[in-house]
Amino acid sequence: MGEYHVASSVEDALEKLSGCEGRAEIVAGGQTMMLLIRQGLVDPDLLVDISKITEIRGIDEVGEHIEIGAATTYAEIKKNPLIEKEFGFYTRATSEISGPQVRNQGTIGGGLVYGDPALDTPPVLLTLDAELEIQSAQGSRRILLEDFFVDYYETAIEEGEILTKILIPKLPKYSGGKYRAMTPRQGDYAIAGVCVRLTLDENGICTVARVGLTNGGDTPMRSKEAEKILEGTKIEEETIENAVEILGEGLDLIGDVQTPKSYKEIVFKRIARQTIKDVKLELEDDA
Amino acid sequence: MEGIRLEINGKGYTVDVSPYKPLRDVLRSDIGLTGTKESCDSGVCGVCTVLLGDKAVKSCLIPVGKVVGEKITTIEGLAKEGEFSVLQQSFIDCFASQCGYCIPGFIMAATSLLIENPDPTVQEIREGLSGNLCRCTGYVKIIDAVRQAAGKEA
Repeated sequence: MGEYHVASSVEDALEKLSGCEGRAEIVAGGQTMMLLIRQGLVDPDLLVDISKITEIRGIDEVGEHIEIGAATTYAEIKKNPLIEKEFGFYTRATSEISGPQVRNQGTIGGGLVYGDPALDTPPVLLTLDAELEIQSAQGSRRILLEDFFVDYYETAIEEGEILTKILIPKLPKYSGGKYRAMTPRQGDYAIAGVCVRLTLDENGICTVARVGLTNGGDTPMRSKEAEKILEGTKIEEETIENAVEILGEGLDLIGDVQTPKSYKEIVFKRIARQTIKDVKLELEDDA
Repeated sequence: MEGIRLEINGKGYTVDVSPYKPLRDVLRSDIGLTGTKESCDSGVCGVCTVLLGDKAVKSCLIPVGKVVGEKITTIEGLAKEGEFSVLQQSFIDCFASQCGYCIPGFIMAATSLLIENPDPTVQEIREGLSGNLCRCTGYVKIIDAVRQAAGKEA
């Protein structure tokens, strides 16, 4: 029978992981780990529960960053005033995640380490240029979220490492964003999701564009080609069309019975177009 | 093996099971509290909703080793001294149930919602119950029932 260890600190968790002779896995909220165990994809001898470690829970403002502990739940993120104030579109995107029960348990760190391209909020964090802090017995390291996603359900985290913190730089003036997803019904996995974050200068020229995609390929990803087209422009209609077109070309879609590839591509382009327009309008209203 | 100790509806239990076993299966098979239902087995349908403290969770996605030391409430724990909770009575009064299979999950989710937000709008009720599926009623009477109970839960 497997062992279940509720870790009291990151150090305790790391010790427990390195001392295990069989297969050890980390669990936080359990919302993905339980599915993996049930499907037989994971068969651990030891589960180390990191959800009660206070040092990796909670949301803080540290200088020019907002830092979110990896074991912070989606419910906590959704109702946090600091996140709402700095990145309101992240708060609203969090409402897209499943339903209240899953948000009460599921954690930001769990969703990232899972590496599922279908999740709603990893692409939002990509548009925010988030960085991760990872700890192991050897110490801690930092990695950009952008470099973290390697392949389908595969991330840069190594055995014996724990994701401890997500660092998000505060946005400069004249910044805004929006996440839009198309789902068959509320709380379901998105067929397609697009997050756009724009930063303009005082003349309305786009200095930074970020376009994150849910279910656009093997990993949560950015369309850097679309970003490049938007940057340095006033984001006129024609620019938006060019960005949308190139975004479509960069998709790596898999069709399924209900939604063929061609349809998904149309959905992506349509919501990308609308989302870029919405963010631009919102920024113009603010100016 | 000394067993896993649980506190369910204010009572203590000790079970000798794998700590990876879903809480739902422990409730139903090992403890005999079958009011918590089983359906999708993957965190979608919400019929297995129970409370951990005040928070609603899907008990099919909770390894039982996780909830040692937590206060677990199931549908069986809501009635007090033979009296239904306000919300349970409201579900009856509003005819909110047809086949009834999803109702324990809805009542647990709504109980948690009303603890956090005692007077929710219809939209807030919809969002609060978005983790639960009903295949009979079309949700209208379920929302009516929660609305009717809101504000009465003292």
